[in-house]
Amino acid sequence: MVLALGAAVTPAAPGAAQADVQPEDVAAIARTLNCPLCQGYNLQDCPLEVCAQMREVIRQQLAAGATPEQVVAAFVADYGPQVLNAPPRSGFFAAAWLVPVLALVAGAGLALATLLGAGRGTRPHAPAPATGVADLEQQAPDGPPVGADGPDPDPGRASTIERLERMARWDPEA
Amino acid sequence: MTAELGYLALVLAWAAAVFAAFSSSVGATYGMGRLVASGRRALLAAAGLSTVAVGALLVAFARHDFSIAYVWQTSSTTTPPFYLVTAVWGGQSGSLLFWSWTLALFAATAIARRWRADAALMPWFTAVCGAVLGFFLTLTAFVANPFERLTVLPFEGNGLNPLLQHPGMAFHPPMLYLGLTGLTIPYAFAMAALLARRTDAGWILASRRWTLVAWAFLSIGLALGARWAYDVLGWGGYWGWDPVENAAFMPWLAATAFLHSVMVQERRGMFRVWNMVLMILTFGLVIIGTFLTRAGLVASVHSFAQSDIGPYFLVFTAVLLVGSLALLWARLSYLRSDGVIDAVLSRETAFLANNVVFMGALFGVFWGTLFPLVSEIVTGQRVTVGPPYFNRVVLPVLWVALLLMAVAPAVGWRRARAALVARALRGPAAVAALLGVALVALGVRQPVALVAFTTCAFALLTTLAEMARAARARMARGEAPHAAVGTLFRRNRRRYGGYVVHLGVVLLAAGVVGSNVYQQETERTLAVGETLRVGAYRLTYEGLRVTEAADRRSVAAVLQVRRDGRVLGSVLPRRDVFRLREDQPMTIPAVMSRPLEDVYTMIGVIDPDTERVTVKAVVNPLIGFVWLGMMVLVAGTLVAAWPDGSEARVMNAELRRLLGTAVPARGA
Repeated sequence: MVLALGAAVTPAAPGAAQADVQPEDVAAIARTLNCPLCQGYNLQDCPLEVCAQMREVIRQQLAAGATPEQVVAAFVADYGPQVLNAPPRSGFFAAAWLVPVLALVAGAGLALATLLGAGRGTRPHAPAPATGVADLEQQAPDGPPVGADGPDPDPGRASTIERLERMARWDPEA
Repeated sequence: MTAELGYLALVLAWAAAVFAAFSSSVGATYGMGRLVASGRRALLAAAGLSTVAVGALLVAFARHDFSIAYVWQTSSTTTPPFYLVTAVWGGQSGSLLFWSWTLALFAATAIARRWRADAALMPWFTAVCGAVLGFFLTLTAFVANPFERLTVLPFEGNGLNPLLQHPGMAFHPPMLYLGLTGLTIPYAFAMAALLARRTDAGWILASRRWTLVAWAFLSIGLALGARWAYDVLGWGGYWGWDPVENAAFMPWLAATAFLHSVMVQERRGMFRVWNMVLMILTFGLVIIGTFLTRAGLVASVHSFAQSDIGPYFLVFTAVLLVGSLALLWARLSYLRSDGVIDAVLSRETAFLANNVVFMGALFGVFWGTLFPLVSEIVTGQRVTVGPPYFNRVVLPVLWVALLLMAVAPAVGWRRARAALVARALRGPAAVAALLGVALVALGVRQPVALVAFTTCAFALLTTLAEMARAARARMARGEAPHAAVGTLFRRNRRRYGGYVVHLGVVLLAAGVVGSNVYQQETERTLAVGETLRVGAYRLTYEGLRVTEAADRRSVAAVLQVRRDGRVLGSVLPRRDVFRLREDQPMTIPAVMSRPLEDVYTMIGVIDPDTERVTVKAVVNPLIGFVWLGMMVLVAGTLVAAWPDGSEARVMNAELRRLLGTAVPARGA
């Protein structure tokens, strides 16, 4: 089957335009294609003999003067787009590439909206309740309030006591 | 007899887990203490009984009891004892049993340790754990039973899949399972908090160490899998963006986001709903990941353990996600934020950005993993989504994470002063920029590598500077340097353990970039005496060497490695043929590790008559940084997660000071 493929997709007669084919050029194409038999390997990395034969087909086609695009197109024509190891960037398949970008933009937008909403709702003098054990860790003599991690300006004493009461029951071993 | 005993224990464990779920939830709802107590005992019993079941399976393996289908399928009389143990999780039904067992042990440990400390949460915690455990034991006991008998009695077993006979593979699955089941514990605490309407940060305090430990196991599992791929699969790489790798990577990404985001809740009481969502997402991805791995829905190299349990997982995932989110919706009024983000330039914003970035990376992985399915449904045409896609879509996002890692520790909580941030970052940025210039001068021209390496240097330097600054502050009070650093780590394990994790990530990133961007590769067919050049190395083929062992026959090509005319030694890439699996020969690469790079070799076609052999050689620069980075990352996690008496002492001292009363000092 593979040999038949070799015959089918090697249109140029042997000896016509025999360019010197660099192994790197073959490898570059083979890396964008999949092994048709096993999952998870590209054509370049696959140890199977079939893939060695397919790499040889790529070499022959390049030697016959085909451009890399033509070689890839020949493989797609024979095996379908599944032979590519990344989806094409046209038609419906472009969704593979676009949707994650849109999702990231949407996520960033959502975060930005949270931030801007927070900016409007700023309560500069409201005593922000201290709600975490991190505040307490901060009270430890861990150096003067250098740089980023100074103690909170307003520890919100009342809720801290309430919280500490609960934390007194906290088992340090867990 | 062993099989019957094991199966009996399995069914009883299932019954106990289901009983624990019902008894605990009814008891907690109606305040019936005795039902709650028996729920607790039932879950502890389930842990004991599933231990008996695992023990029975081990005995069956040790006795080569091939009347049990699973033992026959995954071992043989020639399987070495070590791999008899690992065969317990080497296939579908055994790995499900192992999953259930570790989950039961984790849940029992949490119950034993925290029953009194978190009295309000624990009944519901038991109920949730019982339900999840019940699901997995249902599958193990009634759908994929590891104790199922064969109708004939074979004399010899099928043998463990040769691909799995590797030390990395022996520990890779159990570590992953420990990570995945471990994440059940914080999830169960989160759900318990919602069910019990105790929606303060208590569930986070109760479970944060569990989250860290689970995250560490997951990281170890991923690292071992990478190492196994490098040592066994023979394509010169360690991460292939295979659907099953992604299935384990996705919960890791979600848990990483959670570990960061949760700090904002602990410190500021914000992101309460979001942290719940993250926890539900993380656990949902654990289940979806297990489902993807098992159901064979997406094609993968990991098809060791597929079967028809897909529909069960689909239903469970749906129930889990819908149920958890509905519960969260019902409790929204309990989850009002204590604070707001005061300023755009603040640690809170940095954590928010961290979450956006990790969610973005997670979505990229998720979408790429599922796209073949989506494409088939929409267009009828299946496509492959391989490494080129993920490298292009996910890696840039992870680069932003790296950049954030460099900047965020210098940004203070609430309202950071821009001048302070600038002062902290100025030095590292300048040095990183100088390094960039030096790299260009040294001939590094790849833009990706330049950007990535300078970012790595920036992150490395800011992290070290942050640690040095805190240490200097202590030294100013007269502590010796090593004592100062020691005190820092003792005083605040989480922060400095976290910084160590960051250092590991920097090393890992540098290794990933080096080994991908600067990988060199050559392949040639060699006759004896011929030489292959790869990078600065020359490999001379000296002939074949054949070794016979009880279970396999190995043919190795002896390759002498030289560099600059100096002989560095030999590598022997080989092909193993296992007697019981002759159709599945294994190509085992041979690696020579040098300080800054690996020479990685493997053989393809061997002509036995002429001894001509196809050799593929790869030079992987900086790959040692990948392994080192992973180890540092795990070490940092352990520092952060290690039980810490001083944490409790600090809190109790503060409590005494504030209340002015004698609170007994505990946990010293």
